[in-house]
Amino acid sequence: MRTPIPFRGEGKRLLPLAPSFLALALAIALFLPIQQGACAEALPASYDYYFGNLHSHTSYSDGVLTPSDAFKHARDAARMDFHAVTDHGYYMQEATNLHHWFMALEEADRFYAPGRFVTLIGYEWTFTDGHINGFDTSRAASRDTQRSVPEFFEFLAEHSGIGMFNHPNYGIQPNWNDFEYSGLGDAHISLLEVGSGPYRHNIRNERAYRRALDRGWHIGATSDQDNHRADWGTAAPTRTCIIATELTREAVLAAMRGMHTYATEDSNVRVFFSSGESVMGDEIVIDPKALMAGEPLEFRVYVSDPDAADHLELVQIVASGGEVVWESELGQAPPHATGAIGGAYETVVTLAPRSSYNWYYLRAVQGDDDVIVTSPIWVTTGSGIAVCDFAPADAVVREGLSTRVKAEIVNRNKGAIDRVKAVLYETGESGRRAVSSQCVDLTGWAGTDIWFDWTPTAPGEARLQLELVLPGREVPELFQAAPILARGAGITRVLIDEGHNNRYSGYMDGLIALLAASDYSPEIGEHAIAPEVLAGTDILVVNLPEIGFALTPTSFEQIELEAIAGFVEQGGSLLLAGWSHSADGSRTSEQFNALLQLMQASVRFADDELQMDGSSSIHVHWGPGQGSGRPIFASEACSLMAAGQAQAQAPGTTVLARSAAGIVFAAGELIGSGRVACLGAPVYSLFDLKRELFANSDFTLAVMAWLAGEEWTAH
Amino acid sequence: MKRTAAILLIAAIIVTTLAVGPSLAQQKTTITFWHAMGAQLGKTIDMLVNEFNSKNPNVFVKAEYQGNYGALSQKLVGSLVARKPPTVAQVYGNWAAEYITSNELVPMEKFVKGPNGLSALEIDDIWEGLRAACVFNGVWYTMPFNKSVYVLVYNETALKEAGIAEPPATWQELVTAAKALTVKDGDKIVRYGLGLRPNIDYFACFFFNAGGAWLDANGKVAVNSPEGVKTLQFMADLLNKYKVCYYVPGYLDADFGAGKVAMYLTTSPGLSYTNQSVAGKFEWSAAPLPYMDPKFKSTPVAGTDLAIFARASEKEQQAAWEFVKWLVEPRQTARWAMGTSYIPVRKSAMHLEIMKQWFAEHPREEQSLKQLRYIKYDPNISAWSNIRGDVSEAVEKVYLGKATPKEALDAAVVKANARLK
Repeated sequence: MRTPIPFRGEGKRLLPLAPSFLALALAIALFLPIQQGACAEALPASYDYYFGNLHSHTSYSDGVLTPSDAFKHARDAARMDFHAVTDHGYYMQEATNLHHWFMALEEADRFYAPGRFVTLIGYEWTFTDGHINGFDTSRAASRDTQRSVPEFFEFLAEHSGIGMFNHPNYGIQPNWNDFEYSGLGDAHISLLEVGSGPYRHNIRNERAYRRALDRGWHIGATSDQDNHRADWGTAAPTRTCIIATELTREAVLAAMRGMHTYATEDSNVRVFFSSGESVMGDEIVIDPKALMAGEPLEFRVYVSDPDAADHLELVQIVASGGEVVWESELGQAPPHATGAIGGAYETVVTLAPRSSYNWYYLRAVQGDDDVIVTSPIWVTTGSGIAVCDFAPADAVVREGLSTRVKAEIVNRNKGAIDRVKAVLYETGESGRRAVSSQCVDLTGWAGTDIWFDWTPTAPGEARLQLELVLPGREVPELFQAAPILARGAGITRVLIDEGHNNRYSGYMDGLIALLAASDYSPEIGEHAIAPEVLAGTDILVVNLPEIGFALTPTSFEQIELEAIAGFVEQGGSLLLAGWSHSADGSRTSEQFNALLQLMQASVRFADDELQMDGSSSIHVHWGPGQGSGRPIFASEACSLMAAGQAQAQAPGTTVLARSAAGIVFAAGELIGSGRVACLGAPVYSLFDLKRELFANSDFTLAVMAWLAGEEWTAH
Repeated sequence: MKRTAAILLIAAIIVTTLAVGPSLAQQKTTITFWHAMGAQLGKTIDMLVNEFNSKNPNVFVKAEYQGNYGALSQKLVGSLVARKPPTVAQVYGNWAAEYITSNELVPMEKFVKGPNGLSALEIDDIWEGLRAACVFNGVWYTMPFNKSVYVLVYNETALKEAGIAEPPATWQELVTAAKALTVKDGDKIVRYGLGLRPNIDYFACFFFNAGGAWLDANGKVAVNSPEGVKTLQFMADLLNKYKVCYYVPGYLDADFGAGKVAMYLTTSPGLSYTNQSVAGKFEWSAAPLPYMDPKFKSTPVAGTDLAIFARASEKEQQAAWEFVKWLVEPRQTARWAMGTSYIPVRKSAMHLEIMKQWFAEHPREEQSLKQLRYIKYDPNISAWSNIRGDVSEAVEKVYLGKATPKEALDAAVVKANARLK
């Protein structure tokens, strides 16, 4: 009896299950009473669950004590099944501390007890792009000897090693150029830390995990502690769980290569995700015709925790693009619904693959918010082609307006594939129509970008498909973009000026996202303001320019000011946002006030700074009652005043917001057929919109709505 | 007969050994030297230590590599708690400040002005800026050792291709050059003009060149001064406004060598890594750091000094001084500089034939030395290592878009000044 080996791309990873173990375990399953709940029967009989940690340090690099201390602690205090000491590679170089590498290996051998405790020695290759742990190589790599990511991949290849992407957090490291695909790397990197220490509560890196999977990487999930203190395994209950045939070094390494793993924040929860004979970490190859026909696959979901207190809240299947394609019903509260301690939640989910390249992983959340994430199961047509970033480049797409659609085609095969026919389709209720097609050559073991022009024909949800006709393959490969919302032609168009060294240039991404999500069409303008530029604009946003050196002009020409005044006179809307005055003359309201005078507005910007308790960060109040509700956050703001008199409300204006001291911070005024809103500071920079306790987003949208012609309802 | 003679001979050897052995051992003083110099730097240390040992039969220096600076600091603190510090160690100014408060260091002044000390001419031969950084409350405590300054490294080939004749000297030129050197392929930036790291050291490279000072007249941390805010805004603008800058927490030489960044800042010892990474693929060179205004021209000085620990016996202290004094002699500091790209701490080292020849072969290394008259250093206060963290956190926050420069630096100043109380 032999378990069929599912397709595995380049054939790098999975070892077949040992037949003897299968037979033995089957015998145990059939004839022996099951000791612990219903756990054992959920696994194919040859496997068992082993909990451990694949990332830790000792004084052989920048941690404490020795690998012996680490192994002893991991075994006796943390009671783990396996533990890896992975000191930084650059500590173990010739003529300095190379002996530490060999000492560590000897110490690991002394603590290795097959069947009871597995010890591993790896190393952390600490590098700019991100850190990678290496295992199963005869010596350690270091940034001094392997001085680039490709060199490190070559080192792994040369030694047939196993790699793991460490702490792939976007706030820590650039994550290997955002997981740019490398076939050589993919052949040897098997794991990614979905959870990473060293803190008491682990850092969740699920976003990076999904990104890596989308970009074509075949990697499994781990959760490791990165210990730098004497707390190996006890720093947190987080564990990497390995599904292996036996507790030996060979079996643990084979499971790591085969990605038969999951990342867990609970120290003993048992999770199993499978489809037919394939388990997490495997790739299932389906017939392309079955994909076209929408034939579904069954996935088996199993979660069980020996601790009664650890009840299950939610189980999800997450698929390509991060989409949750299945979720357990709320209130189902598995697995203790039956009241049986140690009982298991088990179900079968039917899903139809949508593209030629799909990944699915299981995500479980327990009552104490512990999250468990498994390695994926890939479902592909076996072509070795994945597609990611298949979406329009513009934040907002509009009916009748051409936009550029990008797709990155990742060729996971080592060889190049020339003359691939790529066809973009738009699908709808009446079938699909070809938008455009092109021929593309795909580099081997890498990604290739292609671009299409596409014009939505109607407002509403649009669906795009990419079809790739590969030479020698009968059925085309099919990839789906996420649904795209096409807006109507009459949508309000907002132009944000960044052509004049404006305050917060480069920090308007948050505003763009906010407006795009709220039925506006925002755009950054980097050129001089002229009537023809304003012709396609409904609202112009100008943050105060900073005078000084820059790559753009740092003030407006008179002709530009006149163009803006004319635009407002004829019904355009203008948002001006100021900046507190600076003594060196680099920030002055002079030009804004000149523009307001040109428009014969009654409001003016003051050359001052609004402060609160001596700080330039202030709270501003708006809305009914001017003091109730959440305030707006503003920093380095100036006040507004009436032309000719300081800090009083200008006649004919609507006060939109005031500082805590009652000073006018924002005002609106009707001018000609248009509207002008003045703010003491832009409150919609990337920094401002991130402040969850403040109402900056709501206020910004209220001001935009007023500029778009609505009543000021908040007053 | 022969046998008797042999026995007598052996007995004589034993007697001689017993008689001579202990007296030799008594004469030889063993001292420990803890350092954090790995790889090539470690090899140079070993080379110098071996030479010292062979020339000084009465002293044996045991050089011990402790890992990186973090590990060295940790181990030094541990050794002081256990009352078993080394005799000599590399220390940062702020570590020394802390050890001095608990009387753990012997002032270097004691030896410098002692019978086997340095002449006024020799003292004057040590760069003033480096020497000043070793003085704590008016007392000279440590000896400058592995010191480096920051330089701007640039891809000369790329600069020429972009039609720029000279490396950027001012911030304006830096932005202009970085923009010209930034290369796009579709929507992807394939080469960034400039590479930076979001930490206090890179901040200092700009801050000093904008006329900033860490402390105000009252000794309070004043990094949120207009100069500080302007500096951090400029660094953030390179990233977000001009989109010409690539930032990474780690080392940049490999990216420079791979052509991913066309300019970056590094300390002088980083130049040897740069050379390895570039491996002849293109022409490159180094230049002084760009300044906002010529009157603010400066460079931060980095690296450690040597300290002698007070717990050592008088004899060990004297042996340690012997070693320290020898290490900073012009010939040794020159060889140290050549082996590591640190700067020679003695002015006269520059006039040595070996040094002149080396500069002729390594013109880039000379760029660092052009800046030696403009060096600025961190305050020698014990709270500084934590304050460094506060400022680095502010820089990082701004890079990650979590706070504006003003907010981030205001917060850092509140934290930092609380540490001074």
